[in-house]
Amino acid sequence: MTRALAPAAPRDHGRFLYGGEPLVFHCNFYNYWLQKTLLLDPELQMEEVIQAAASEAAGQMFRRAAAALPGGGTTSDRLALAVDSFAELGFGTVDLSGVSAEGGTVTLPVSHYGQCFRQVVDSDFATPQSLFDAGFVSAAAAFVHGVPRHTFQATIEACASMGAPSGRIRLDATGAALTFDGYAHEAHSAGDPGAPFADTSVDEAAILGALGTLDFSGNEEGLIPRFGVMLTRHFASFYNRVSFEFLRRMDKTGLLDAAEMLLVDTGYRCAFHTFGGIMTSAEWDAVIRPQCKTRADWVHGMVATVNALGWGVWRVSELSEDRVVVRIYDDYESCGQLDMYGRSERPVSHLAAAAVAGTMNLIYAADIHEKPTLDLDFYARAFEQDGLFEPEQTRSMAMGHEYTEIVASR
Amino acid sequence: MRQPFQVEVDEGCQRGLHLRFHFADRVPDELCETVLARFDDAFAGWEALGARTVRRVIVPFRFELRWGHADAELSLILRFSATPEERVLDQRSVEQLVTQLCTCELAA
Repeated sequence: MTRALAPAAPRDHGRFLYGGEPLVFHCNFYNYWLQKTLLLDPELQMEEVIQAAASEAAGQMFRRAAAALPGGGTTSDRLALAVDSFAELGFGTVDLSGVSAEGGTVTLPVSHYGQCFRQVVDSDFATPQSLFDAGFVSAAAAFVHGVPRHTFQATIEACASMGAPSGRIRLDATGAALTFDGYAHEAHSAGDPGAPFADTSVDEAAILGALGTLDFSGNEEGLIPRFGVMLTRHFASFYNRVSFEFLRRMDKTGLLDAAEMLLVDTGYRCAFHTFGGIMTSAEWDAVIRPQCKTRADWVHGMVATVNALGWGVWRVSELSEDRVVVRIYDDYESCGQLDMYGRSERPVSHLAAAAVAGTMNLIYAADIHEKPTLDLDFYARAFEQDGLFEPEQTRSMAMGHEYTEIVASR
Repeated sequence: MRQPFQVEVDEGCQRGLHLRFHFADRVPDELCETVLARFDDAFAGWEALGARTVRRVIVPFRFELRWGHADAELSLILRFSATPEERVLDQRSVEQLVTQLCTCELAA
């Protein structure tokens, strides 16, 4: 299966760029919980934000990818790049052949935000969930037909999340209702993460090497079933834009603290499903578990795995049964804050904070090594009882520090 | 005859689409060749997973088989593109196929 793809390259501090856009791994459960959180209050109008953020990230990627094509590429070159990028990154399959510069209809036979979301709740949604798809295809259609990115307004006419056999999105050349204007990826820690934690039998370099040989491209359905979860290799900028706009809008209603707590809670879902899925997966058993002799080793094994996710470089600087200190160089949330909005007065790494505490809860409080079923009972044991690990963001790249530091203790 | 394997539905994020076949001894040796011969569009590949070698056979838009990731375990990953009826049919086909292979190996 040969695809027409944008230039891709690893960068330092664990980053990976596709068409110049940093990519991060997240699974369908996190994507579902994040969107559910964002859409809690309809008055925040986050549906428009999600579409606009998707269009922004995809549009920036397409613009840079076109620069690598001779003469910016032909229409068919650009069409192939758009369709293949959607599949490669785990978003599904898309047919853009029914769209011209004047608009038209896009079909999505398979969608991460459609079928995979429906898989999470095991029933039909009342409203369409493929908001990311709508933003992506509006940017893709504009790119393919050489018109400005903000040309199309997308309307979701059918969505697999609601039980439709496939998705259908109408594009009208009336201009997008909301747009974001892009950003430069300039934020970067000059700090040296140094070597991984020494007092462990876990060999991070060997783990990164082994994971680096695995194929994380979307399959023929444009999906990435890996580590027992359904992954996307997603735009970090998309997560940042929707999360920070959520915080800004909640702040205007005096609910910033509550909004931050909601994002941390969403991060716990990520830790539970993604990290829990990883630590109970065949991949973990084959590559990482053989190196783990103690619970501390499990922490280091998980940290080594995180360092393959595009989330920056994590370094454990202190670890006991009741406390962990993790320093993160170029965590994607801080980088996004600096690139999009400038220096922050508060820490912004809510996903990272939840992931650190969640890792400790899974390993020290909930015995993930016993391979429990990742159900609601186990979630309550790992994240809802008294005496669990709580995270605190003690340093933040977004506030001007050299690295972000998360302390989780119980 | 009693089935030479047990089937467990993975309850993770691939809920309902991922079935694990557990064998008493090992995954049948001729599985790859047999699936490739049985399904026209099927193609095979492999990848290193630490010290293990994972074999993969994909029947596009229907299902994927993976083994080698764990001892005596076969993963059947059904595709969204297949209808519910096709998924039932594909699971049954795979079960029959591996049963036949196990029976042949026992007889040999």
